[in-house]
Amino acid sequence: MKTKSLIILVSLLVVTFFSFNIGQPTTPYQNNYFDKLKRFENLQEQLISAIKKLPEPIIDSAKSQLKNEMLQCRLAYKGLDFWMRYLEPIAQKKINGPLPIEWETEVFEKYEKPYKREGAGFTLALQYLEEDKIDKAVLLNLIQQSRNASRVYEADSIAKNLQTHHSFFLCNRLFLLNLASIYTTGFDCPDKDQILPELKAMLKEVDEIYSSYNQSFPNTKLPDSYLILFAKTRAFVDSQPSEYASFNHYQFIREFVNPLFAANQNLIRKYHVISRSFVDYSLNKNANSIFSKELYIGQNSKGVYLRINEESTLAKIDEVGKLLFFDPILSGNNQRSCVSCHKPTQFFTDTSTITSLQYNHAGFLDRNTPSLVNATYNHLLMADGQHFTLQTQNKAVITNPIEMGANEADLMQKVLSCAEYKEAFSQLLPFTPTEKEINFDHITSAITYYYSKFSKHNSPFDLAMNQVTQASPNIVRGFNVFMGKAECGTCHFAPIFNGVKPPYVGSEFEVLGTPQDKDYKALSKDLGRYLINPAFETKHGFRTGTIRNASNTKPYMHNGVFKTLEEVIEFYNGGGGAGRGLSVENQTLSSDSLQLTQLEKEDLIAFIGSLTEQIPVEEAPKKLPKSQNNALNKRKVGGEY
Amino acid sequence: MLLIACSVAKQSPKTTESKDNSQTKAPTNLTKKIDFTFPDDSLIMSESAKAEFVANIEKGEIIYSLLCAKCHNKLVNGVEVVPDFSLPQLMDYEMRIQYPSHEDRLTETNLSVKELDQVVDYLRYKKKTGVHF
Repeated sequence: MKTKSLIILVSLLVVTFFSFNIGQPTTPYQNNYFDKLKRFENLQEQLISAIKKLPEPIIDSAKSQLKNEMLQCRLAYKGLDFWMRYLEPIAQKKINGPLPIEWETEVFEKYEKPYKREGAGFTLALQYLEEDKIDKAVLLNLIQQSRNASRVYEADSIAKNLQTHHSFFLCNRLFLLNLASIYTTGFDCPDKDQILPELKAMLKEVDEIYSSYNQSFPNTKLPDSYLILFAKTRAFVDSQPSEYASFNHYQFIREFVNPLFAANQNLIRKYHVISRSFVDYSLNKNANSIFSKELYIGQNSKGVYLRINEESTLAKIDEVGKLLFFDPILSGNNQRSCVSCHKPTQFFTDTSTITSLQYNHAGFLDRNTPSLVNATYNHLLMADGQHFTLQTQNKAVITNPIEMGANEADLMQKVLSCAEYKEAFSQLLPFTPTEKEINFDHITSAITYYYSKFSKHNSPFDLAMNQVTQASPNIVRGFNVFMGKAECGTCHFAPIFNGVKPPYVGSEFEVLGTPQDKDYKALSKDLGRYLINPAFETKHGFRTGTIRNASNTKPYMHNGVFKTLEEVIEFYNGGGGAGRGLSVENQTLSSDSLQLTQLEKEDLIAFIGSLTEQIPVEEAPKKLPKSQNNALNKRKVGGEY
Repeated sequence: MLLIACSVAKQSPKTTESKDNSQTKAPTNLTKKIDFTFPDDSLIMSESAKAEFVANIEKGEIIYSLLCAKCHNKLVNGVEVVPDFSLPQLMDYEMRIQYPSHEDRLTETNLSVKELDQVVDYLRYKKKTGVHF
């Protein structure tokens, strides 16, 4: 018995020893990862012991010493960000999260309740250092959490990703997307003076990662052409003036980041890179530009018809979708259609009213009609994010008693009383084998498929970023202000310029302190996201909308309080509601003035104008399908609202 | 799991038209049986929840046969069998990303979140065939 247990013990030890050995780095690429991680963890340890030793209260000179040490940690962290954000994005939020609490509803779990994710780490610690009275325990906790999160990256389950070429190109893709979206905007770097030094440090570290990768994977190398362009990228950043406000984001993304991205996408295809991460869930590997409408897959506009790819069948769905979009038969009173509020001539919104009329003209709705253009590039829909799919959103509007006032049974009966609809949907029925008969899903799917085609068009700014054209100097200046001094890009992420940031797995909400009236007497009463997910952080929070086509989609904000872009920019320039003296204790927008000059404001407006997409003119159908019920045949194309 | 073996008559559109005698008449050859178990909490499930559960499973079966059967079904003694999948194999979104062969097939553009759930429910609650995948 004893010898048997001994044998078991020995063999266990052997197994442990070997598995430990397997986990050890064997390639220069793996060594590089573990070296960087070790260096970072050592700096974290030093910082923790430095904080522990500090006598309380913490005096100013000690604060600046701590700040320096934290900045050193951040620089070391920049060498790992490349891997961390991709391999374990949730732990990354503890290391250098931008916010203390985030409520998330990510793409793969959007049918579940939003997750509460608590951030920690250097960004929050540095912000905390700016406060007058500092509690050592709070500071220590923020750093200790960051330290603990770093250990996650030592695990075999994460490090094993470094054994193949696959995750390298996917990490690199996310890195390049973030270079265009968050690394240069100060998204997780509130101290603007640090943005460029950190960017330079990061590019240097990534250069090392590239070399170690190429040594380790000679069969799936980054080609010389890529490395030359990357060297030029670094040289460009080095050549930029040291003050952050002068950084040329336009040239950086257009001439460097986007071509690198295209090359990386090409390598992903060439080397048959396979993803096993939700981080790639929404990304199309066939898109060759960050400024391509193909990149982010977004919502399923086809609904129940999703597997149809045949052009002629899709054309049929589009045709019937268009008729329905203009047909007031979808409303309870047969007078209101989708176009009553989403006018094709006005970028599928209504620019003539602050908020639209309610059903049966009983007053006005609480919220401004959003444009349907680019609605598909969202995870959550509506200002409060209450819907997950375009089709459920569509249903909710049609059956809402104060919007279109329909009920499902009557609506189905009315639509199918029209031979043209019945025939079209009957022909399409075999494409949805799980459905035995024509139902509401077929109707909403046709509608969302129809209007989503207007989201596929490019703007002059996209053409400039894709090097088809060159943007004029005021637009370039405007984009640089947008990404830099005005901080717009920290919430309206390039390239969609809404609240969906790479890798496009969630929608962000912001609390801006939007007033009820232009005179800032009171905060808008609308609780926004709080109505869906009640929490301190979500009160008066609204989903970040897109800047695309904003020149043509007035009025602005959830309640349409601002009529012009000038007013909107003034609102942000003044620090939102809190900056104007309203009490907004959970405002996510800084209440400090941006101190924009008149020229900067004008340039911003010019840039926003360049995001106006070239949407084709849409003619209303000549007539609507005839119903067996003659009373319905009096209805007018587009309704009468 | 409560092992209540149920047989639900899945009727073709033709038989549903004759509502009055569908319950009394013996199943015709157009009627197909699907066997599955209800989930643990089925005792407290309302009738409508049960009906929805059954409808979902039926849809899951159709989608499975459409998108999955070709690669996953096994031939046992010349008969095509839907294999049993383990719970870890049926981890919703992870099914999309954990298998290279799924990368282009189980995209959201080819199978919606709702449909994936239906397939998972079908595979989870269908009667076991004893053939493992």
